[in-house]
Amino acid sequence: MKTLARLVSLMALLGTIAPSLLHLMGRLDLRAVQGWMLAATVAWFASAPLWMGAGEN
Amino acid sequence: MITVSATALGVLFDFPMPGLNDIYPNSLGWIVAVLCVGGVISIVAAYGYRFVARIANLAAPWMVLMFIAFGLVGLRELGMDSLAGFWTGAQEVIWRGGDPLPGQVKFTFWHVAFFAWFCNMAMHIGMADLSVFRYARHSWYAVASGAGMYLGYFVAWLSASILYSVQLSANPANTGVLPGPLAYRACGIAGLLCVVIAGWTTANPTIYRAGLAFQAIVPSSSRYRVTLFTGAIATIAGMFPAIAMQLLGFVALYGMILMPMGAVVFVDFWLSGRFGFQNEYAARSGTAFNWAAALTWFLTLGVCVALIQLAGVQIYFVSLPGWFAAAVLYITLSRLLQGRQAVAQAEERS
Repeated sequence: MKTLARLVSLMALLGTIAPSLLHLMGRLDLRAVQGWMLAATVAWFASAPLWMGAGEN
Repeated sequence: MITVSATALGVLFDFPMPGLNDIYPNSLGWIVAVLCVGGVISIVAAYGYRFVARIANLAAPWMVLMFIAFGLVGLRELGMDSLAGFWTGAQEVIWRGGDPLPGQVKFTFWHVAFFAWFCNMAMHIGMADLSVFRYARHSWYAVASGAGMYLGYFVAWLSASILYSVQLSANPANTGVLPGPLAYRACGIAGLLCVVIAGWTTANPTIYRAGLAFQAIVPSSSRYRVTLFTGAIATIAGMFPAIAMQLLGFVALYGMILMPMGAVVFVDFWLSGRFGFQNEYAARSGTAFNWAAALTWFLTLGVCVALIQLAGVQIYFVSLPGWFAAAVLYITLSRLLQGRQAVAQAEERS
């Protein structure tokens, strides 16, 4: 479960930065950039708590 | 930072937000937004270090990428489609110089260089970070301060200036400096969330350590309640644009106020043995007042204020040299005031 969550988190971080790079290169319009970044944000905050800091205490 | 987060709510709920020269809150929506944001931040801070750290850890990797994304989107919106044309665009479109807005100080290279040093001087050079670093397992954890400053300020400020250029390009009359709308234009809802979370994660440790400071004054008080009380004060302050919109001057002021004590803490811990005086002198000698520390604080501040008020030196330029002056002053005063016996004991120890 943690491995899957880590994978989703990694994809989410890529999804946070990649759309802006594609926009800079003219491959993605602004509305699509904003949509992808929101999806990546939701994915990050849904997946990261499942593995980040788990096991402390 | 509560104010910064509240500007994101302003985009969502479309209430009037304060301008750069406003003094009082200008709408009910603004007051409610600041209350909500301040309330949540205060409650999180009141839950203590572990909770504050967990929120910050969760947000940090994502937030750094968001800061970079703001800049990349902004560059494209300014018509730059590759890094090749960046230098020309940077000189001619983004950082092109010119007169400052009425009532604002024109920032030169030297202003930026000095401001980079004392922005959050209260936390780093002023040693307020120790309230969080007391849990550090290794001394090298202090690089977190540097990394945070680099990403949270250097990268974020570069991106913010790019986004501000986008705003001015779209409408030269729109000179409002509101992080929420700037971020929303570039990255949509994710941008707004970033503004809320950036403000939140910055304010959390600040309110937490301010709560600790108040608790040190009244040790019998509950840390939870004291932190909530501190958060309430910060929230009320955040409603007034006179404070939030004058952040540069405010940061410079509180950095300057704490700077001499940062020098005292540093010198007392690291250099006292080398320069032949007792560290933690008040505790060792059983007195409640360390005159060397107090005089260092007040004399350094006095000289800094005199330079600003009488010699016309801008506040941005006094704190960095002031730190070194305070360090020398504390060493000198400690040796003078501690007496021969204490100095001899310190020299024996070293």
